[in-house]
Amino acid sequence: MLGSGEYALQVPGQVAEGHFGLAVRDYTHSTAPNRRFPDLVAQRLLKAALAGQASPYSRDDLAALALHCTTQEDNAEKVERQVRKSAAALLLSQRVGEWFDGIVTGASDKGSWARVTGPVAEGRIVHGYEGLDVGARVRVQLLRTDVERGFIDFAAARARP
Amino acid sequence: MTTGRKRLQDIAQRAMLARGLLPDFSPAALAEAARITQAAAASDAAVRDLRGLPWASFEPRRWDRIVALAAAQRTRPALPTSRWRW
Repeated sequence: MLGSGEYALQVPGQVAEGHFGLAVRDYTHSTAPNRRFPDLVAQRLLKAALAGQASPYSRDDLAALALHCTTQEDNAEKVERQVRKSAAALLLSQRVGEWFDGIVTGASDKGSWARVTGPVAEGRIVHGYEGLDVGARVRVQLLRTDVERGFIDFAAARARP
Repeated sequence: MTTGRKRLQDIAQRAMLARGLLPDFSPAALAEAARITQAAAASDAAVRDLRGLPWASFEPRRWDRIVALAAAQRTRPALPTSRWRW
């Protein structure tokens, strides 16, 4: 494990990523095998090494497993983000037409975004976004929500300095 | 279960399936779990109890942070005593 949800095969003789905080090169992170499948793989490798047995996985197996686990962790994070957005849309679905104080969190040609704080939720400003920049305080009106898609649409009243 | 909670659960299940993740355990996995009647016991003589050794834990998402230093000591008859320093 190299970082958050990123797995890679490291083999003897190659330069390892290492651990910045510990300032060591030969390092791997693994924890209890009931946490993640890669931890189970690491434990099987250690167990075989300690017993003097052959590796239960080939290098190709390990490379494929690392790629698969990294991909699935990415997918899990995407699902989590999607459900969080749907939950926010559901929470606000009964408050269409209400006004909220927020901060502009994104502004580009593709659209502008605002985060409101009561409750904390982020939505797209579909009207009145012209001239808004990131960090600007803005008062927005909730226009609509789409729980299935996790969409929250606002209209901006005015930007405040 | 509330309607909203059920709705979010359905959304999560569909999203997981769409991305190749299984939201529920398979019947085969449940059947295997049901066959477990007691905790596993080590049968290999090479297996050693290492719980008496000191250990440290690092937060993987914050490489510069030690999250736990611990020393464990087995007391008689069997209950371990752990000391934690955060």
